[in-house]
Amino acid sequence: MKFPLSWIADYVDLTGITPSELADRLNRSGFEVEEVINVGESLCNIITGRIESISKHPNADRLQVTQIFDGATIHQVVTGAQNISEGDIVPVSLPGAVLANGLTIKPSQLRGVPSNGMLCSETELGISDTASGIWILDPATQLGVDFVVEGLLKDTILDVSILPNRGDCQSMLGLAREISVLLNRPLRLPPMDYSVTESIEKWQINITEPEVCPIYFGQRVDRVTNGVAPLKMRRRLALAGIRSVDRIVDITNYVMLETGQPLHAFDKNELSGTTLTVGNAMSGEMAQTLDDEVRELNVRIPVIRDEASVVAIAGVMGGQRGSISEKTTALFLEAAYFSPTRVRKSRSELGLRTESAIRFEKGVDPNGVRFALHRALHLLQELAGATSVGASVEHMDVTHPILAERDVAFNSEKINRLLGTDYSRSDMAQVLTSLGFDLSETTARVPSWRRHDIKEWPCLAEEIARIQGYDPIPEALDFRMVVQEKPSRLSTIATVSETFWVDQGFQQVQTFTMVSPDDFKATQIPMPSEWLQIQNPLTPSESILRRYLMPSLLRTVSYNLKRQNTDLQLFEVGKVFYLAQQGEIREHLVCGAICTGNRFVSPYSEAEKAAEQPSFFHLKGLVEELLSQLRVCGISYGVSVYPQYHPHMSADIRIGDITIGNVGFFHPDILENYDIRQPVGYIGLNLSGIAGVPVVPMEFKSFGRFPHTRRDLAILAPRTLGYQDIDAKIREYLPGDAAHYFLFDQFESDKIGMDNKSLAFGFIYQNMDRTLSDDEVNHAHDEFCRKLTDSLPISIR
Amino acid sequence: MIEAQLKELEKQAHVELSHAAGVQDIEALRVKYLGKKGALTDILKGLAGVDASERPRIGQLANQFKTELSEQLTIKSDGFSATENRARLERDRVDIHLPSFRRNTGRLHPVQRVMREVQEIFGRLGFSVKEGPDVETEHYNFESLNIPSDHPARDMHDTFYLKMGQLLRTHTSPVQIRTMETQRPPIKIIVPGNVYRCDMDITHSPMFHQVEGLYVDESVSFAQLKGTLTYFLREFFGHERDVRFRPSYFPFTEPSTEVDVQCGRCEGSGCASCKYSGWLEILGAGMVNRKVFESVGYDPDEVTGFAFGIGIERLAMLKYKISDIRLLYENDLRFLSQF
Repeated sequence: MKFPLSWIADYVDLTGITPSELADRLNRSGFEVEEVINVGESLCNIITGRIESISKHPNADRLQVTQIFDGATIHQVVTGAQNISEGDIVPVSLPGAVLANGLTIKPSQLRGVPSNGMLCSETELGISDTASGIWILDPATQLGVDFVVEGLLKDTILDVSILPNRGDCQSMLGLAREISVLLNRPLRLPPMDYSVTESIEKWQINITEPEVCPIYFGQRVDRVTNGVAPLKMRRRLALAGIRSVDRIVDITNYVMLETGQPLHAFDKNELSGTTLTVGNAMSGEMAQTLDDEVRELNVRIPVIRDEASVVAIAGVMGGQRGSISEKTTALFLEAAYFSPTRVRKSRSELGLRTESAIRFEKGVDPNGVRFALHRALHLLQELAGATSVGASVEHMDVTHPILAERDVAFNSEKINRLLGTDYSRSDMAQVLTSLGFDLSETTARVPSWRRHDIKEWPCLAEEIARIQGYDPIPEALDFRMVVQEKPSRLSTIATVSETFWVDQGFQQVQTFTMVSPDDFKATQIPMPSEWLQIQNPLTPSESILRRYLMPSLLRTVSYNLKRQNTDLQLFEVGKVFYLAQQGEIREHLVCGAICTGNRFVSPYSEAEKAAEQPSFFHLKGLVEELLSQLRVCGISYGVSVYPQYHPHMSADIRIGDITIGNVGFFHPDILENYDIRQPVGYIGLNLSGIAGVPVVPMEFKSFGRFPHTRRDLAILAPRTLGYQDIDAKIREYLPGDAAHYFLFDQFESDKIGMDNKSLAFGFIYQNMDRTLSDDEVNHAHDEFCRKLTDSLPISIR
Repeated sequence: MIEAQLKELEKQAHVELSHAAGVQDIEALRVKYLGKKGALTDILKGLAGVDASERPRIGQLANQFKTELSEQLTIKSDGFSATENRARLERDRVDIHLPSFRRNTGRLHPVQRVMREVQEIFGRLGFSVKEGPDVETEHYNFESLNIPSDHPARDMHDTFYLKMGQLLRTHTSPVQIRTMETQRPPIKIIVPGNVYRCDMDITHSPMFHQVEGLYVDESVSFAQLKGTLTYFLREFFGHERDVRFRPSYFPFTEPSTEVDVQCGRCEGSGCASCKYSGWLEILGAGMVNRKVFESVGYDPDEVTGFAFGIGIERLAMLKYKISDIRLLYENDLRFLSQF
């Protein structure tokens, strides 16, 4: 909210305090000053003058020569403006004046005619971005006065962000009250006296929804003259960011800005009957509001109606019927307390965030309703010649909680313990009293304007700390021992995995967990249940909780390839979501690694170039190394059925019966959907799944200290015979002294027949207790080879 | 006679030695003159015919010849092998200024780097890590944190909703509640995780990361909150940076505070990146509201506590001088590989 300091200064003396000092004090007490705005900083020497005569410029069709009287002398000013007439009073900048844009006025000749100054528009005076001509002032304006002062052209505005709990400070008086406490200077209230004439006409207020409206005051006002509000009032409204409408509406807005209490003025002659009712709208009822919109109402929207129909949406906006016009001569002026929650709901349903609504929904001062009404009646009498007629109509539901006094415990020891301070009770009492609290030995009575906010004793601690600023509170570290808990297995797995991929040269990425329907389509993953769809997404491309990481990583690869980042090894550790049963969403932590292109940065030697295009077996190796680092064993692979993968270059990864991931190259059709035309490998692992697998303890195993002997075996096998079957038989017949074995060559070629493949194994023979003799090894190896060839359709090469 | 032969041999050896061209020539000379069947052995065969009184002197001369030649051979040989080694090493010479071969490097995402650092700093102070679900209920995300449905503070949380009141958590504070529901004080935890708000511009992302902290025990004070967060911010941003606590409002804390760190770019004098205030808003914190304790069944007269919430992206952006939050989620390798 914007607070012009000249306005604040009506209520609290600001002499000796610079705007930036004040902003700093406010910042430190909980009022964030977002901006200090200096209006009309450069303006000087602008006066008011009357246009005595206008004549045509002898040499230019579009210019006019005016004679301006400033109350003492006549000045000749040439102007291009067309909206002026003789007798108008206008702002004039005489030689030496400085305009809002910094331009200094000098005597000059315009097409041969001397001009001693300039007639000003609102733009030149810095109060408006656009203007349709010279600013024509009120005919009653005095001549020759300093218009920078008279027109409130120069001011400093504090733009303060008011916290949601400080509805009481959405007004000049509210903030002035805070400032008066901070500066320890008295608060001055504006005059609110007015006179009343007798009347026999009786008005009545019906409240059908007591919860909506515990307080409603209405006052009839006669003999109002509408028109334009005084310049000072219009300028103040403008500086605070509110458009001037007419005298009556401006007065109600002015009082709202001044006191924080929204008011509504009805044109009494436009209302039907003498009874107003506050209650809920009827379902489907239509009302035309002040902004000319016709709105459909419902029972959740509280309204004011006269004997004919709805005349206002309570606390939000008035209706078109009953609204103020230039013909208005009599008013029914409303000052009420509307329920914050009901106004909030109603304005959000209607999409109407009015100045009135934002004040009601944060809670107005229940004791300030009458004050605001009286203040407005004072101004109507003073500025619009109005007379208040008859006693005001009053409804006050004293049983409503907002009208109950609230006492909270005041215990200085507790407050000091919570803050870690040692303020004296009397210092605390001084702060609380100046904020309007009424103290007893053990309690503090909350001032009416803080009832929405101060509920328990820690609030008092906040008030005390806030007014002193938080700086004096010491900084203490607590040295009581609280032992850090061991990280969960899942978070350890996540950390180990991240470190592993980084060590392997993979770059971590971070994508949104909300994905697009296109992601599902492009990867042929079925669309998830509507339970996983965001009801109010910002964009359809972030509207569904993801089921797999794969689409996010494919999209990232595609994004980078399009930006000529061609060699990519990326990984992500993140959450995915699925529906366990109706309404129950579960989350898994998963990890995906994706790679394409070279692993080396621009190698320029042939040997290096030949190296690193990862194969399926490289990917498999990464899986096994990571799982080994996670102390998981018993991995097996099965044929993957996922259509996202190349049908012959992919596998499921299992531990026991549980599938914990998959590995392989993408199906070219899937890559096509992402405009990718190079092979892309992928590893997906379900870390939550792995967290459920038992950890293999780390234990030392003795290794043989006697020399080992190697025997090789090359076999010719049918191409269709799977490695898994050969490996199973090797394991079955492996001699006791064969410590381990490995495949060191594998090829297919027409030289050995298209239906065959050649495999060569190395076997390491070693005994833990002695050196094996050649005979022993030969015997065992021959026996093994014989068993193998007997049990498999293979031959030894 | 023998003496003359020895002299002649010495002269001849010196001539040949001076012509030797490599280690092999030297070895050949060593065999020729000093070998078992070499020239010296031949000459000494005639020693038998020498007068006994002369023998020791001749023997001495022979030994002297042997020692001297042997030394000269070794010196010359060492010289030759050093040259040859140098020549061999010369063939291995590389141009050390040619570019290196480097494997594409892997790095942590900057958000994760900061996340780890934050966890590490609070870990030193005894804070344990707790995690919780991204999909939450209104109860945990709002109600139990003293944000009833009609509370104006809900406006500060632009929430993504799923069906039936389920939502994407707007802060990681629900994990405070989940932890307090199952554990008794003392509780000293931080909660890292994804959070979501319907907001998107150069400083807001619809998904971002938060670390929430909570310390509950008997008589935990606002002074301890100040001490803890000042320690964290100085460790993270540097000890020369000032820290400022401003009063603020959050429904789940009372008193509440917003914490600023002195702007690093202008050192507090005011610049465009701190909106000319000299300060950068970093985090929100406060003393846990009694209502929150009541909602988890703690007696608010028995315990007090403080809580804080830190936006990780904001920390990363300030630390690495990243101007647009969206860079963090575009995942362009040219950006990511800088960290």
